[in-house]
Amino acid sequence: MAGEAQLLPGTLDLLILKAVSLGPLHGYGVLLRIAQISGQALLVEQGALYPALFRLVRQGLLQASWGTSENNRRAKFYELTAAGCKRLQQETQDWNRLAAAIASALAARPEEA
Amino acid sequence: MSLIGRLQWLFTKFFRADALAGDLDEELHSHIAHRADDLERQGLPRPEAERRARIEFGGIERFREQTHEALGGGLFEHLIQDLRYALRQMRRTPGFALAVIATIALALGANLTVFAFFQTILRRTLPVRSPGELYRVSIDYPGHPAIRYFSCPDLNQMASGFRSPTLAGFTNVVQYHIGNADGTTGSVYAQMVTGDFFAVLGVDTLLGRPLLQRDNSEQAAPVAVISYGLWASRFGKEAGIIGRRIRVQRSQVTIIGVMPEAFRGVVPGQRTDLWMPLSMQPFIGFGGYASVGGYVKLSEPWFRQDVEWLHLIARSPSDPDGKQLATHLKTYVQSQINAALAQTKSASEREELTHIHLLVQSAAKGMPSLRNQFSLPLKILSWLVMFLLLSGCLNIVNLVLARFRAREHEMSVRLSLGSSRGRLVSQQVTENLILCACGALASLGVAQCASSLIQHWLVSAEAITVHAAVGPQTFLFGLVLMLAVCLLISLAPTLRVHDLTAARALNVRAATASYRRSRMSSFLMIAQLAVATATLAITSFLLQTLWNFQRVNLGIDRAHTLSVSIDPSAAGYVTAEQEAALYSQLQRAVDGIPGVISSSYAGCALMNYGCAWLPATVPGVEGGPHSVERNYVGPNYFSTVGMNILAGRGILEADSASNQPVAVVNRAFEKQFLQSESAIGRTVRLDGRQALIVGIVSNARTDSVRMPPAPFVYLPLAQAGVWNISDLEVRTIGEPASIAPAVRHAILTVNRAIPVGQILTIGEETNQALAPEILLARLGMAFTFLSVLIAAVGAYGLISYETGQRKIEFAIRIAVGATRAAVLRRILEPSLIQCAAGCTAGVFISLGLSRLIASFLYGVSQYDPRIYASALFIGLAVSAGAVLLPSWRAASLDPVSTLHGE
Repeated sequence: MAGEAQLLPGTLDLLILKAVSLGPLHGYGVLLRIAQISGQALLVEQGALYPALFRLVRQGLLQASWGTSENNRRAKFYELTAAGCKRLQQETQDWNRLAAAIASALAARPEEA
Repeated sequence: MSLIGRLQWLFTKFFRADALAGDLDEELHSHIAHRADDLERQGLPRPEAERRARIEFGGIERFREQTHEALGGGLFEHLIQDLRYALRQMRRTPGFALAVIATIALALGANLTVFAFFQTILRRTLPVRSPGELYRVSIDYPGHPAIRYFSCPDLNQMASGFRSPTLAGFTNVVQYHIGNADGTTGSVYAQMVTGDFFAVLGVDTLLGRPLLQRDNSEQAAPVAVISYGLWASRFGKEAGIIGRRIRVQRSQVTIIGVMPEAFRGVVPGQRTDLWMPLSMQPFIGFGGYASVGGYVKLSEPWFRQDVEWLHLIARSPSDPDGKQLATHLKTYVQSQINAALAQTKSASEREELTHIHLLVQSAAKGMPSLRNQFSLPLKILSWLVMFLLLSGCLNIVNLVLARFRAREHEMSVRLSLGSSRGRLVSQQVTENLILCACGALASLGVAQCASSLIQHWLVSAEAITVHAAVGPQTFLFGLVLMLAVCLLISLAPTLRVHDLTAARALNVRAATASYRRSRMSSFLMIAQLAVATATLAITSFLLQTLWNFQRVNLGIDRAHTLSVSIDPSAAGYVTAEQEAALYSQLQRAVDGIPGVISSSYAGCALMNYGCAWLPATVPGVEGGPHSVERNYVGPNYFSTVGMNILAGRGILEADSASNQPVAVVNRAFEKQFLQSESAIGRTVRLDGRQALIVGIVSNARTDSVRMPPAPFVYLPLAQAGVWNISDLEVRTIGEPASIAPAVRHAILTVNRAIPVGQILTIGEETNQALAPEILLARLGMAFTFLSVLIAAVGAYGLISYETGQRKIEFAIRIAVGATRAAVLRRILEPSLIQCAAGCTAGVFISLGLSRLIASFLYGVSQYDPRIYASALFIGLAVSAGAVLLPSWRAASLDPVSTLHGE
C-alpha cells in the first residue's frame, strides 16, 4: 500500500464535505467516494467516519435522511446544506492557500533565501 | 447552530436518547452490510463476507462511544447513562444497596454527631463583638486545690488603671428560687456581675438595656437582665416584660433587659437565666464558691471585703496575645504577692507564694470549664467514631469486591466488545457515589436524632445545656467524609478493572476451581478485626474508669443518704431563732417517716463542688495558716451521712450558741497541722473565731467524687451566729427512692412555701457529676457494639462467600475420602490465623492510643494487661464464631447432592 497517504488532522471533515457535495451519499458511499476521488490514495478508517459525520450534522453542515441504497438496503443519506456549501468553498480556498504556501516553502532553494 | 436548534438537539438527545442510539446502530449495521455486499461481489461467500466486513470495521462499541462524544455533551450524557445504570443496579440488588446505605448512615451519622458536639463545645466563639479581644484573667496557684478567685477590692484596684471598660468580674452560676405568677416557686440559674460586664463583653440587649455601672451600687434599686430562654419559657415572650417585677429569693427585682437568643452566658454549656449586679449579694445571698483571703465577716456585704468569689474577663483591643494586658495587671498582682510575703514567716508558704503568677488566656470561646471537662472525652469519641467509619468502609469494600467478582464476567465481555476501562470505572464510581450520597443523607437524620438524644440526656443529668445543631460546618464535614468514603470504596474495584482482561470473559468458570483468598480480602478482614479490637480495648478502659468512680470509697454512704436541697430563707425564715425552730419541726416530721433512720442539716450541700475555703491556724503549732474547708452542720450529721467518728465526739444538741464553741476536724486536717499528734483538745482559729477541737472524723469526698479529701473543719450551725440551712441530709434504711416523695411531703406539710429542690441519693448526685464519664461509656459501648458487629458480619460474609465458591472442591474432597474434620481444618486454619493476627494488631493499636487517654483514666493503668486480654478474648471469640459458622456449614455439605446440583 505504498500509495496510501496518512490523513492530516482536520482534513477528514473537508474530504467528507467534498465527497457529499458531488451528490447525496450514505456512510459507506462516502468512504468509497473519498477513495475514488483521491485515486485510492486516501483511505479512511471505517468506524472513524461516523463520529465525523455526526459532528458535521450537528454543526448543520450536512443533513441526513433515511432512504434506499443502490443495493436495495435501507441507509442514511447525507447531503450538503447551504451552510455546508459555504463552508466547503471556504475550506477549499484555505486549503489551496495553505498548500500553495507550503509547496512554495518546500521549493525554496539556498540561493533564494 | 442557532440557540433554538441547539435546544432542540439537546431535547432530542436527552429525551429520545434511545431512539438516537438505535439510529446509529442501524446505520453502522447498514454500513457493514454494504461492505459485505461488495466483498460478496468480489467472490466471497456471504457468511465469510459478513465476518470479514465486521472485522474490518473494528470495535463497534468504541466507535459508538466516539460518535456519542462527537454528538457533544458526551460527558454529561455519560453521567446520565451512568446514573441510570447505577439506579438499575440498585433496583436489581436492593439488599446490597440497603446494607451499604445503612452502614454509611450509622457510621457517618455517629461522626457527624460527635463533630457537632465538638464544634459546639470546643470551637464555637462567644456571640459578642470581636470575641478575639477577650481574655480570661486568672491566678495560677500551684498546689492549690481549686481555682483561685478574685475579690471586689482586687478587681477595683486592677481596673483603676484603664480608662475604657476593660475588666469585668462575675461569679459562678448559682441556682436561685424565683416566684411564679401562681405563687409557687421555680428555680433559675443566675450570675452576679459587675456593672460593666456587658460593656466589656461587647454584647447588647435584645430588649431594654444592659446592666450599667450605676446599677452596681448599694443605693441602686435591685435589677436583673434575663436570658432569651427565660423570657420565652417563663414569660411567653411577653412584649411588656421590661419593668416587670419578679421575686428572686426574698427580694423583688425589676427586669430591665432581655439578652439576644444567641447569647447564653460566658460559660458555654452552663445555662444562665439571670444576670444581677454584685451589689445585690447582701440581700439575694450567694450560695456559690468563695474563699476568704484575710479575716473578713461573711455576714457583711462581700463587695467591700476581701472575699474571693469573682472570675475576671477583660477586653484588650489590638493586643494579639494579651501581653499588654498582662503587663498592666502584673504590677498589682506582684504588689499583692509582696505584701503576702512580708506577712508570712513559714518557709513553705513563702515558697508557694513565689510560684504564684498571673495568667492571661484568650476567652474568645468563653470560660473553659466545659471545654476542660469534655475536650478529652470528645477527642476519644471522635477516634472511636472514626474507627467505626473505617470499619464500616472496609466492610463496604468487601461487599463491593464480592459484587465486582460476580459481575466480572459481564465486564470482561463489555471490555472485549471495545468498551473503555474508563467507562467501566466511571460506572462503578457513579454507583458508589449514589450509594454514599444516600447514606450521607440518611446520616444527617441519624446525627440529628442522636444529638438531640444526647442533649436531652445531658440536660436531664443536669450536666450541661448544649445546643449542638447540625449546622453548615457539619454539612461540609459530612460532605468531605462522604467523598473520602466514596474514594476509599471505589479504589478497590478501580484497581480490579485495571486487572481485567478480555480473556477473563472466557475462563471465569475455570478460575473458581482453584479459588484463593485474595490478598486484599485478607487484609480487609485483618484490618477490621484490628479496628474492632482496638475499640473494644479503649471502651473497656472507659467502662473500667466509670466503674472505679462509681465504686470509689467516698467516706459517706452513697446508697442510703438522701440529700435534700431546701431554702428556708425564701419562705421567710430569716433569723437564727426562726430557722432553729423550723429545723426541729422538720426533723420531727422527717424522722417520723417509716424507713428514715436519722436526719441532719448543713449550710453547704454534699457534692456541691466545695464549701468555703478559709485560712486556719492551730495555736501552738508551727506553720500555717493553711487553707481548710469549712461547713456548718447540725447534730447527728456524721452518723446521718455515714462518716465515722474516729476519736472524741461529733456535733451534739448541747453545742448551742451559749456553750463553748467546738469544732470537729477530719483526719486530713489532723495530718496537715499535727502530723501524728492527736488534734483533740487543741483549738482551731479561723474566720476570726476560735473553737475547741472535740472530735476527729474519717476523711470523705464530700465535694466531688473527683476531689481527694481536703482538710476539713465542721462547726455546729447553732454556733454560727446566722443560720442558713441549704441542705437536709436524711439517712434511710432500704430503698431511698421510695422514701424521697415522703420526705418532700413532710417538708411541705411543715410549710408549703419552703422551696424544695431535687431529692437525690449521694450516688445519684455523683452520677450527675460523672456525666462526661457516663456519656463516654454509653456512647463508647454503642460504637463498639457497631464496630464489632460490622467486623463479625464482614468476616462471616467473606467466609460464606468463599465456601460458596469452593463448594465443588469440598464436595470432591469429601467424595474421595477426606474426613469432614480435615475439610473444616482446611477452611479454618488460615482464617483463624488471620483472626488472631487482626485481634493482636488491634491490641497494639490500642496500646499506642492508651497513652492519649491516660489522663482520663481513674483507678486503672493504661498498661493494665487485663483490659487488653479481655479485648483480645472478646475479639477472638466473636471473630472465631463468625468464621466457624459458615465453615461448619461447608464441611457438613452432602457431596452427592452438591456435585449433582452443579
